[in-house]
Amino acid sequence: MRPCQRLKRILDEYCDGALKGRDKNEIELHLSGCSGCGDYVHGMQNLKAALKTLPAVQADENFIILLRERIRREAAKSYRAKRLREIPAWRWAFMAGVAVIAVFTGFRLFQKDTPSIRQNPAVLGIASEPAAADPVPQKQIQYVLEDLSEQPRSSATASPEALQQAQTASSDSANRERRLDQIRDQVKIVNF
Amino acid sequence: MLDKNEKRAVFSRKAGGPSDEELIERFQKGDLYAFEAIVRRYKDPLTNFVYHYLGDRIDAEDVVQETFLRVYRNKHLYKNIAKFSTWIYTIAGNLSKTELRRRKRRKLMSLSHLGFDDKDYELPSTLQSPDGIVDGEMKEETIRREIEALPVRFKEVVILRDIQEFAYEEISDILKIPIGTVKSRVNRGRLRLQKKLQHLLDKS
Repeated sequence: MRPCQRLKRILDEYCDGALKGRDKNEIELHLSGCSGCGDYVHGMQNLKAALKTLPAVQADENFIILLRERIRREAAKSYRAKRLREIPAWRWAFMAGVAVIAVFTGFRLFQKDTPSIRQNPAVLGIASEPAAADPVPQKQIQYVLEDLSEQPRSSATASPEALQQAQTASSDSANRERRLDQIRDQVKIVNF
Repeated sequence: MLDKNEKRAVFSRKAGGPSDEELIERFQKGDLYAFEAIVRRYKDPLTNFVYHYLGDRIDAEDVVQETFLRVYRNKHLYKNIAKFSTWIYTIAGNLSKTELRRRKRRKLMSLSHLGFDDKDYELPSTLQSPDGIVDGEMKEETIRREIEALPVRFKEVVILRDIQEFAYEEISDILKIPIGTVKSRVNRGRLRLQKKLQHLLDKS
């Protein structure tokens, strides 16, 4: 049989031992005449008694020793972490800088040891590039050449006059070369 | 009527021992002996509580150790506005719930690795022979198994109320739920247990 629904809350309080005095007497009077409520209370009290019979489980004998060991390990770990946290920011920045420089230097050294493609294109199995163009502007050289070309050039026939002319021409040619060099240097300076 | 903890507190005061709150205050000031006194006072009741929660002694001790470790680490978080017992039981309860969730995940993962032809997933029969039920140990084991099989929301309140003998107000503080909810959950949990243990209770 089911308990009386309107009394269910009060029956629970009665089972918990929370009812006192007149309330308790009234419920007990009701229980003596109502089998549904009586069964409900009886079942609850049986259950509570059964739960109380469960033996209490106790911690192991070595519990405190094991806990101390765990705390010691924990303390050591937090000490190491604290030491790391205490290192000032500038020191971290300095160490990071040193690391960056070391990596960069190592990279450069590695590059030096390894032949570059530009220096040795054979590394990739291709032909070398053609020589770089003369930095002196061709127009200016042409102008100087025209300026110097007023002098007669040496001929194939070797008459005494011709030889003399040829000697003069060769000295002129040397002069012209020297002059050309000077102009090249000037042009280089200007370009620079 | 005094509950178990109140009795314990009264006893410790009568015996001249400091209260839990005094001990934690001393520990907060750096007294490690006070911490050890707390451990000695709570290791057994907490192990009992967590054991009924998880149903495994080794796991229970592990969770209780972790609870004390949390108390040690976060001693500064305890404020003397709540009872210390409430605080430590809340930590232990939360850790037990985490352990239960972890177990569930592990179980799901291990089951997903089994095929239909595997025989490993066969569970042992929960039915006991009538002769076995008469035996006291078997009876305790059956009650324990049924408590463990309850849904967590009923299990935690039944353990705290009927095994640890906490007052409804304290359970409400520990679980952070209203007293009305605690009472209704205790009642529903008891009814479920009663139904499951009917055969055993009738015999006794």
